[in-house]
Amino acid sequence: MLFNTIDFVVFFVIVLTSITIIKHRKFQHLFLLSVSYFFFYYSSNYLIVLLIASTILDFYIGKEIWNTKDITKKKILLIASLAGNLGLLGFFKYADFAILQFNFLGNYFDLATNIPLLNLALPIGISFYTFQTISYTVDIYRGKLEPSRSMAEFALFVSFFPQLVAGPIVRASEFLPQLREKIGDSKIGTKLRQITIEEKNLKLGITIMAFGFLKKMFFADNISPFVNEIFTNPIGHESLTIILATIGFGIQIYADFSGYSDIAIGAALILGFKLPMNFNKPYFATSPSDFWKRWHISLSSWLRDYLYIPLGGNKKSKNRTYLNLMTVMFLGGLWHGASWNFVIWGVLHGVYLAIHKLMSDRFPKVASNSFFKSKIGKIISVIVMQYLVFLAWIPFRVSDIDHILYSIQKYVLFDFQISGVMNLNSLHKISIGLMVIFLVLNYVSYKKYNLHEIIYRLKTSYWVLFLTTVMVLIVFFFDGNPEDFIYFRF
Amino acid sequence: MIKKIVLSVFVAFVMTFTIFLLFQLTLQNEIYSIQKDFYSQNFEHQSKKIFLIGSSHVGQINATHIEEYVSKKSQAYEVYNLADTADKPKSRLNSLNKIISLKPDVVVYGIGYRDFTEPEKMLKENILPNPQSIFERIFSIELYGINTEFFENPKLNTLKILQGIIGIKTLVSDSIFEENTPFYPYHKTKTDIIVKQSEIQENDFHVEKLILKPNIENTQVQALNKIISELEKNNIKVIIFITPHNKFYRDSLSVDTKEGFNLLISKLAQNHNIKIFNFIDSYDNLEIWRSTNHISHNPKSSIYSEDIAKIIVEELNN
Repeated sequence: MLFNTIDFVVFFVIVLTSITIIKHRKFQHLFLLSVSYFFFYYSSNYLIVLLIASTILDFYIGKEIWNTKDITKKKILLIASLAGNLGLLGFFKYADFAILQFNFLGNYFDLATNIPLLNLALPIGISFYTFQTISYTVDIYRGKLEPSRSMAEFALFVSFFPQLVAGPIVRASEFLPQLREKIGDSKIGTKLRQITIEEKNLKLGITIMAFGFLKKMFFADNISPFVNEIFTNPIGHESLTIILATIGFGIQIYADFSGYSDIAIGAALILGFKLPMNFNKPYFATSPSDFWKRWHISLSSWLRDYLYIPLGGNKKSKNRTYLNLMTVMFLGGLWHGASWNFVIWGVLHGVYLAIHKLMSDRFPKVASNSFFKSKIGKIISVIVMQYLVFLAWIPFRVSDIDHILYSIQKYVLFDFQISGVMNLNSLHKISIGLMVIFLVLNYVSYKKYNLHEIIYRLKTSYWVLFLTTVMVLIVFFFDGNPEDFIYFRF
Repeated sequence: MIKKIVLSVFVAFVMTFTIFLLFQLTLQNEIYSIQKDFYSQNFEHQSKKIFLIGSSHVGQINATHIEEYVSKKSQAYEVYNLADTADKPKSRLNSLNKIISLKPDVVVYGIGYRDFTEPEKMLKENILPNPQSIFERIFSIELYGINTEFFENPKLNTLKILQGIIGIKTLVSDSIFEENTPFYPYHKTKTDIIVKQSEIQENDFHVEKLILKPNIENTQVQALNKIISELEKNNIKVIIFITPHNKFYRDSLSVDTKEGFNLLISKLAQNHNIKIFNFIDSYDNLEIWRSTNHISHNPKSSIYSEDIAKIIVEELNN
C-alpha cells in the first residue's frame, strides 16, 4: 500500500479508530500485527509468505542461539539465520542479475551460456525486513539482546506497517521494549503496553506526516518531470542543464525518501512508537563520513555495526580500514538494487570515505585546521562535499553507461553554454521554482533545527492553517497518478 | 484535547476541498476555454471536415499531413486532430454533441487497450484475492455518477489557472497547441525518439497491468457503441482503427486481456458493420517510438500519419 494514496488514508483512519475502541492490550497488539500483515498483503499478495517465513526462521533461531551454551552451535545457528535471510534476499533480488552477468561472461569467453532469466517479482520491502531480522539474531548472538518473549511480538517488530516497506531499519533493541509497559524511567515491565493515542503524539505525528506528504507529493513528484526529461536521454544537453537536473534529482530523492521516513515516523508516533531518525540535513554535510551520519542513518549505522565493525573497522591496519570502507560501500550500493549503477554509486562513496580517511590520517593538522571550523571554511566544505554527493547521484539515476559517462563529463567539465538551459527554464518553471523553494526551506530547517517541534507548538488556528496549506499544495499540484516512492524498488 | 486535534484535521480537510472545488468550478470556463473556443467557432459551411478523435495514442498524428494527403488523393478536406490526453470513450461521450454540432463528414476514432481497461499496478499475478481492486471498486466515485473531470489532473488545471493569472504562456510546459490539434499539447519531449528497447522500457517504468472487463460490464465499450451509433445517425462516416503499441507493452499484457480486447473489437465490427483497421503491431521494428505505447511526434515518424491518411482515402473512395 502506498502512503500517498487514498487507500492508506482510509486504512490509517480505520486502524486508529479501531485501536482506540479495542481496550484489551493483547488484542490491541494482535490487531496491530493483523493490520500490518494486511498492509503488506494489500500490494504484495502471496509474497507475504516470505515475510512470514523470515519471521518464523529468525524467531526460533534467535531463541536457540540464546538458550545454547555451545559456542560452535551458536555459530552454526547464526550462519543458518544469515544463510536463510541473505539467501531469500539474494534469490529474489539478485538471481536475474547474477544470471545476466554469468551469461555475459560466458558469451565473452565463447562458452555460449544462455541461462533463461527467472523474471521473479521483487518482494516489496525485502531489503528492509531481512536487515531487521539479521540484526535481531546477530544481537542475540553477541549477547546484546534477549530474544523476544513471544512470536507475536517478534512478528510485529518485523512487520510493523509504518516502516515495513522502506524503513527506517529498526533494531529489535529499540522496538521490542516499546511493546512492554515501562516501569520508571529505564526499566521495562513484563506486561504488554496499552496502546493509547496521546495528545502530544497525535499532534506531533500528524505534523511530521504532513511534512512527509509535502516533501513527497508536492516537491519530489513535481520536480521529477524535469529530471526525467533530461535523464531519459541526456546526450546533447549542456553542462548547466546536466548540473540542474543532477541537483533536481538530488532534491527529488531526498524529498521522496525522507518524505517516506517522515510519514513512517509520524504514523508510528501516533500509535505511540518511536522510530529512529533517518535523515539529518544530509546536504549540509561537511565530509563524506559526516554525510553518512546524516543520510539514511538507519542503513549506514546498520552497515557500520553489522558489516564494517565485523570486518575489523579501523582497528586493523590503515590499508585494511580503507579496504573495509570500500567493501562496505560496495555492498551498501548493491543493497539498493541488482544493477551496476548502484554498485558504481556505492563505490564512489567508498572512494570518498577512503580518501577522506587517508587525508585525515596523512595530514592530521590540515583536518584540524581552524579554517575548516570557521564559517567560510564550513561553507566551502559543504559545497565541495555536495558537489561530490551530487556527482554520485548521476550513476544512481541514469541507467545507460553512455549516458552516465556523458553526464559525468558535462558535470565535471563545464562547457559554458547556456542557450539550452534558458529554453528548458521556460518549459519547466514549476520544477525549477520548486527546486529553489526546497533549497530555501531546507536551509531554514537547518537553521531552525526542529521545525516539526515549532509547527507542533503553534496555536491550533495556525496549526490548522499549516495543515490546510500543505493539503492545498498537494491537491492542487497532484497530477492524478500517485507516484511510487523511489525506495520501494529497493 | 484529542477531539480538538481530530476536529482540526477535519476542518483542514474540509477547507482544502472547499477551496479546491470552488476553484475548479468557478474557473472551469477559464480552464476549458481552448476547447470552448474550438467548438464555438464558425466553420465555413462549404468546407468538408474530418475529425480524428482518441487519446494520446492518436495525438501524435499530424493533421496537416493528413489534410494534404487526402486532398491530393481524394478531395479537399479540413482535418482536425481532436485527440486528448488520457481520453476514453466515456469522457469522449461528454463532447460528442459538440462534435456532431460542427457537422464533420468523417470521424476517425483511434482505440487501444487502455480505452477499455482499468490499470492495476504491482504484481504480475495475484494468486490470492486482491483487496486493492475491491477497495477501488467501493471507492470509485465514478460509480456514483459524480463528474470526475477535475479530479483527473488537478495539477494541469492549477497550472492553467496560474498561467491565466500570471500571464506566462509557457507555465504549462505542455502548452504549445497547434491550430488543427487544439486539445493535445506538444512540447519537445514528445518529439524524442528512443532507439533502444531497454530505454523505452525504462521510460515506462510503471508498466500497468491492465484488466479488461467482460463486454457486458464494460461501460467504456457501451460508451463507444453509443458514440458510433450517434455519429452514424447524423450521417457522419466513422472509421475505427487500433493504435500502435510497442511489443514490450503488448508482451506485458495477460493473454486474457489480449483475447478480451480482440473479442470486443470483433463484436464492435460486427454490431456496426464496419471495418476496423489494425495498426497494433505495425511498427515493431521501426525507430519511431517515444514510449511503449506512443509513437514520437517527429518528422521521422510520419509513417503513422501516412498510414492513417491512406485508410481515410480508402474509406472515402469506397
